[in-house]
Amino acid sequence: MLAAAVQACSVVIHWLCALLTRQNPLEMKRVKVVVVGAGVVGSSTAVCIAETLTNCSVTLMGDRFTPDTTSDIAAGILICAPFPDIPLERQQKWFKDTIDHLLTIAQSEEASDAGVLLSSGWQLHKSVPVDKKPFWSEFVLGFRTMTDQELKRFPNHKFGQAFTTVKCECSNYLPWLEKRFRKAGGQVVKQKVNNLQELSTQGYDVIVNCSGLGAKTLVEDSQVYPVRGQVLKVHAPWLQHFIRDGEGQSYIYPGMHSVTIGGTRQADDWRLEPDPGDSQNILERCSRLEPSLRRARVLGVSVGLRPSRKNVRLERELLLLGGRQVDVVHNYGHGGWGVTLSWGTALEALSLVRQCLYQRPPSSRL
Amino acid sequence: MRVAVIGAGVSGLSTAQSIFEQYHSLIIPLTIEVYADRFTPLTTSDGAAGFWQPYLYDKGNVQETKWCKETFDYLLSFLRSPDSIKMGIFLQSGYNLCSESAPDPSFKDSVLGFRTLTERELELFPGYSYGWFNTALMVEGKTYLPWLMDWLRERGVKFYQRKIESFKELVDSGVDIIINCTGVRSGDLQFDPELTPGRGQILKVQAPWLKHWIITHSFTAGTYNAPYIIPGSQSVVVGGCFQIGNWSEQNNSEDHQRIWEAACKLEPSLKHAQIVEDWTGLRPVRSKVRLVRESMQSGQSKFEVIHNYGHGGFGLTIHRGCAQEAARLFGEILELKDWVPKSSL
Repeated sequence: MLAAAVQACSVVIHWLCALLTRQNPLEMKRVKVVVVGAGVVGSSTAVCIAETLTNCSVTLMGDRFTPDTTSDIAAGILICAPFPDIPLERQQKWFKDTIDHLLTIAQSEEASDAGVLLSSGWQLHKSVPVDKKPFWSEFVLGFRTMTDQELKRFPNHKFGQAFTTVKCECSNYLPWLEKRFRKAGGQVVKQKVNNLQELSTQGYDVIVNCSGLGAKTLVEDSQVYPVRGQVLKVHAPWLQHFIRDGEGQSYIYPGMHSVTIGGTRQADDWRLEPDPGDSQNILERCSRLEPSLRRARVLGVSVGLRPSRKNVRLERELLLLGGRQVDVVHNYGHGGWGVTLSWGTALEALSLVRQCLYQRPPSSRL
Repeated sequence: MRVAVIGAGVSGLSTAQSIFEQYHSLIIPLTIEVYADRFTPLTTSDGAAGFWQPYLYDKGNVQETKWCKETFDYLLSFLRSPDSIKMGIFLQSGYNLCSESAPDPSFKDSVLGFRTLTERELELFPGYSYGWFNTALMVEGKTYLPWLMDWLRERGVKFYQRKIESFKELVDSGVDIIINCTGVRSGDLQFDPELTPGRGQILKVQAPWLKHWIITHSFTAGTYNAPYIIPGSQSVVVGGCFQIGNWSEQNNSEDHQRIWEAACKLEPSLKHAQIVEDWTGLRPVRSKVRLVRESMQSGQSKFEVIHNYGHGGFGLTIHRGCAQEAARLFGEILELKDWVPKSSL
């Protein structure tokens, strides 16, 4: 009853506004939203907005799309380290929202199309960590400490954690998200954005900034910096478990068609070309964790620059751009945890966009 | 001394291996011959998924549980060696699912990281309210058997492709000890009322996103008559068929349909999996494994037979434990016959 009454009032207000502003109510513009950046964060955010805010027209804009985004290089395993200054509860929600969303896909017919699979394995530590349970331990499945018998296989490690998480392969997931986005009426535009003013000139009312490393120049955020990661794809179909060395220096992530092994964490390193020394080093470290890798054929090498920041930036701002008031929602700086936090941060970005809309003048609220 | 092993499935080959390992330096010369009408990749062991797991409960056959654990530990010891891939051995974790709570299985102390499933994990499998998670081993027959044959060949073991019609045939040719690993067709050599085929049909599919085995258990339908999904290194085996007394080695389209539907219900992502082919095998089912030695007579000749057959759906799971026991029985024979000084065994 209440909902119907609210609906009725909205319609009346809409027509009154139209009358007052001398516009044809049926032609009044829908809110134009642009999501900048078509990596996993931008794509997820675009889908959330397009599917939920049906009164908005949503455009996904980027200079690079799958398979050329940073997300495409990522192994896509859901694990992460906490940001130092963001309340843990908030980060927990991001993780939980993402894994719950992906678990549903994993157990559906869409799993293989979307590139989502369950992955069990072990996280190893050379010494017993102070915090034996990472902040997301209750959101993955079956989290527990490794038994002594399990640790026997890893003579260089004294402590370990076993659990089941999700692997989300962006070379499948991004095209799958794009399909969903288009189905919800979204528009995809390949365009490099040099500054936010451009977007205001193009008539966008809300800009959702998911530009990752690009935010460094797009919004002049000096806190953004690359952390270079090199990975190898190897053929080792007998490997069914992930193995990760505590700090994430070395990892082995079996995927649908190959096993991703890595890695490197080179801060402020902008090199996109593979480094043969890094490849050698990665193979050596990972083979020590999993000797059978010495027999694995290397299929390829890739490099990605993690869009890092001390803390992810997920907040609103109201900017005056080219004489217009434009709402900007920032959602970037996920570092190596883009896939892991993609859906959760997208949902929060959606709620920030919603807030922007509620605070707009009535004419464009509908 | 001439030893003839009849049967070239996992039991025959691994028994030949154990005997060679333990006696080749004690008995000189020790000639081991393997006779079979079917060799890899056409044996029952080849078609099986290669998943190490005994039946949930051993029904008092504690010896079998011990042999299964011995096999697990033996295979596990190869994991850090470069040979593990050549042997077809690797770890895989997964889910055992039941529709009601059940006592812990016989193998809980043999596998790695055994635990009960959490509520959230059970949510992944609607229709199942209880179960366990653990890490177990895979030992793929199509890789393991060729590895065993190479191992044996390198050590002078000879292979003969022909069907042995009777023990007598081998004894007459001068064989001293016969190792009977004839699996489901042991009845052709010696009537055994307890041996019966447990027909299994499986579908091999391409579903490389699956990294866990999922075995469901129905206490009404019986072992392996409920759906199971076992990913391997090349493909995923989908099954759920255990027909006692059915000797047909032909693939059956009704079984195919039933198995496929049940598996897709269990794992919806299979909908987009490509089915490669079906395969049917006859599990050599018996109330318990026949692993004994028997003194027999043919005309004037007395000879010794060691029986090692009737491993049902757990041949790969139990093979090493049984092979070592068969080798121990071999030693008993040697002692009895004074073929070797007692002190050297």
